[in-house]
Amino acid sequence: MKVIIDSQKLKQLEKKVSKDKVQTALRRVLVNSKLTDVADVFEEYQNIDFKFSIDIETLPITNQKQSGRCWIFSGLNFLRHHTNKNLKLKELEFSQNYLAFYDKLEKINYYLDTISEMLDKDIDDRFFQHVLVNFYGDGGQWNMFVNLVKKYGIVPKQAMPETDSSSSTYKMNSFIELKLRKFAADAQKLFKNKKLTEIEELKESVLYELYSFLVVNLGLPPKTVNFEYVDEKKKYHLDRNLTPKEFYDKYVGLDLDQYVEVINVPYETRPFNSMIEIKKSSFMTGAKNNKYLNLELNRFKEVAINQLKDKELIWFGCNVGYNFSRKFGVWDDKLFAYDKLFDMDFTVTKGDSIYYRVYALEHAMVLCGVNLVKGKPNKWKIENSWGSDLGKKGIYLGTDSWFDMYVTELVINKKHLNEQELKDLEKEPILIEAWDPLSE
Amino acid sequence: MILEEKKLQEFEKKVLKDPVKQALRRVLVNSKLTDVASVLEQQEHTQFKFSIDIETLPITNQKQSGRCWIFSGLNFLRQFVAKKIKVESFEFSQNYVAFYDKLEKINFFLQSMDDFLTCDVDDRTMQFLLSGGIQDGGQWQMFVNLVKKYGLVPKEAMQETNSSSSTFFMNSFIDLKLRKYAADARQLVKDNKKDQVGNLKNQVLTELYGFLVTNFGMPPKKFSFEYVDKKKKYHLVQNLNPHKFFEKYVGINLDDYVSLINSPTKDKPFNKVYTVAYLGNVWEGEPIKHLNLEMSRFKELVINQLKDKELVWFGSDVSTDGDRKSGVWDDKSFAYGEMFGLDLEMSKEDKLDYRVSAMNHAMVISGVNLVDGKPNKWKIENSWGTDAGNKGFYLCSDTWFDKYVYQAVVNKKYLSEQELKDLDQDLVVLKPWDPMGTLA
Repeated sequence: MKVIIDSQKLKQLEKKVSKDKVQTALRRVLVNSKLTDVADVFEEYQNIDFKFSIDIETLPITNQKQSGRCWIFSGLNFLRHHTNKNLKLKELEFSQNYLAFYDKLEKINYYLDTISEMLDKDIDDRFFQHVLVNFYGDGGQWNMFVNLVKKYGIVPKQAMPETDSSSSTYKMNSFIELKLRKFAADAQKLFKNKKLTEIEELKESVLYELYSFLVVNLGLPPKTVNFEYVDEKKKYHLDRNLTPKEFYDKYVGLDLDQYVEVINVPYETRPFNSMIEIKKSSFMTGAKNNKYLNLELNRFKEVAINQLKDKELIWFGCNVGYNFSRKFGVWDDKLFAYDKLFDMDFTVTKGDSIYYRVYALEHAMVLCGVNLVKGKPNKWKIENSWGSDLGKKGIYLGTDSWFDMYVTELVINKKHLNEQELKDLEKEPILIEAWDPLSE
Repeated sequence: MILEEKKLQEFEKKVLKDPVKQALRRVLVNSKLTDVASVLEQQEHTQFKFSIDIETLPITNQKQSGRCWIFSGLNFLRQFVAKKIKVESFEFSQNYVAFYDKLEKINFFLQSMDDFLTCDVDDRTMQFLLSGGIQDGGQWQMFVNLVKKYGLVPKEAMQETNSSSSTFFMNSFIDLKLRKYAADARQLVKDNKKDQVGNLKNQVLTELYGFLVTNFGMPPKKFSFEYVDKKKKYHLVQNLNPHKFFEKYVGINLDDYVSLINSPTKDKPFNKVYTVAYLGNVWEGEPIKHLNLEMSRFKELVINQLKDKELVWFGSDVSTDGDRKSGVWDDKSFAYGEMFGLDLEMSKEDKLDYRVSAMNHAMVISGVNLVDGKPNKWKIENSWGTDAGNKGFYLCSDTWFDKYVYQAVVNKKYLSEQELKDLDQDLVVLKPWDPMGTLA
């Protein structure tokens, strides 16, 4: 049955709302107040105190600025914690720009390769369109971070600091996107005219043009670095002529294959204890796709708590768009009462939220603590990469009920998995499409 | 192709030999990419002087919302009011039109979902509609449908509110509710409770109507109109309703105006008419209709209307080759391709097909400069307030116009007999994600 908003329908709607004293009062309030400010649940303030029974000390907060490099910042924040267990420095950052440079270069190459494989496709083909629009950007996933670190190593921040374009990527990205889409257009024309060798030449020239564009914008990545630091006893150290891989081995030395991505996605076509692999998700030609082990919520949180008890940080992915208090630096679904205030039912399951696009899995951060009351978590401590002016000097808090609904992914050391789960990792994965919401 | 060390070395060698790239690398350490490619010589061609220059009323401001198409539509209509009552300033209530736009869009979404109650959750069209959500953007015909159904009121009868000027947070709740509806309605069908879908629809519509009233205010049914004319004479007109107001103070027949597009792509032969699937607001309203014309004819028609001292509502892509500070859009004012050794030239056809460009902003053309009968620059009334651009006005060069203007609305009286006949052809239905879509 189609509903047309005719005058009778409008009258009926209007009558109902005019009788509603709460809505009428709210209407008065919203003349001068912001919608973001009118639904605070005062009684909840007591539950968002920044105190935690397990609290891992972290280094000074980093700042990704106007870029979508949260996953690189959080990855490096995770790694520097390991470095600092031995060095015990007051400050330490690895160069995010160094990894971002190679990320962009690899993504460009992957884009060119992927398009080249599908030149016979119709422009409106769903996957073709997905690649065109979404295959280049700042964003990324844990597996991409691992691929980059393994291939290129890491360097101290001083060896390749930020530039204007690295901290504010919009304009630079728009030229790279234009150039990549132009390649798709030009290559499809060459393909139609059966000029296959020219496609290869074109690819090579686009790759070089964009390589040089990256160098100009982000700087030239160093081949060898010197590492200078002053330790807690004020002693100066200088370690010279390290390659980025030597630097990683010497100062981090973690075997990244020991870490796996676990998700909590309760959805009928994504069964628990199965492996899920996203097609075309390595964003580095020759590297591995993104693979997840799906765990039910209790177990998902249990492995997280075990890793934190072990004093190890956790790289994690979540949605940050809902239930956020900028004032407190807190994500808490009980802190706001929009549903009661507006008398609307907003409940959606976690699975439906993902598959009906209620929220995107958009942001990566690091868990650095949890508060356990009688063994049960009630709030989590988060190291973000939005600088120290936001949150509580850059640190954030997520309540446990928020975590249940909005945290979808954790990177966990395999040692915290049980035998069955370790076996599950070897299972044949369910292959899902590149445009699935889980690919974000 | 796997990016190997050898390849990277080869690239690096090449880039280090390029003196321009080396120089640019130094420049970009302290400069912004947006600031380094200005062509000074071009400034003499971008002066705000025009042979046809239509006087307009004070600049409006859509603020943090995507209501450009409503603002521009009302800026177009208020010229008729100004002629009738000779006032120095006047605005219609944009909020009044936006209220009914949102209400109708909510209903349009609910009705559209009827087509997707049983498809796979990964259905491309459904996922597109879910991802897009309600949005602020719209099209000319959607504006016409609203004005015809609901009339207009002066700004004073329904002022802006916080939520109307800054829509993001409010929209996120509406989207949440609509996506929840999609999930819930599909579940009902799955549970063999299809007969309950109608009730659910009504309930969601009722709840969101209330939410809109609370955020935007209650649209007036009756109001008075006060104004002081250019001779400082005060007028009071009482007991007006929105339809009467439109008839009395605008009094044009909106059906006399047609939307022209210029889309030189293979899927859209010229001189045919097009509509876009699932794009609309008033469910029972007229569908979007675009007549595709070659650029020279497209411009001729626009110039004819400007010569008659009538403004032209139009749609373009404002994301490229522009400077918000000076208010100039000109592809020759920026030399990024030359500077960075990037070949960025693409045909308009390829830019549309390969997702480099799409129309995304509606404004009003208020002048043109003709040299020997040919246009070389155009004057634009924008709705970004007076602090942006040249006191709120913008200029685009004629070459920019060719590249980035996609749509203009002109009076039918300028069309040839053949073009009038062409309007009556069957509508070709475009995909919901076609670049000839929404303007925000």
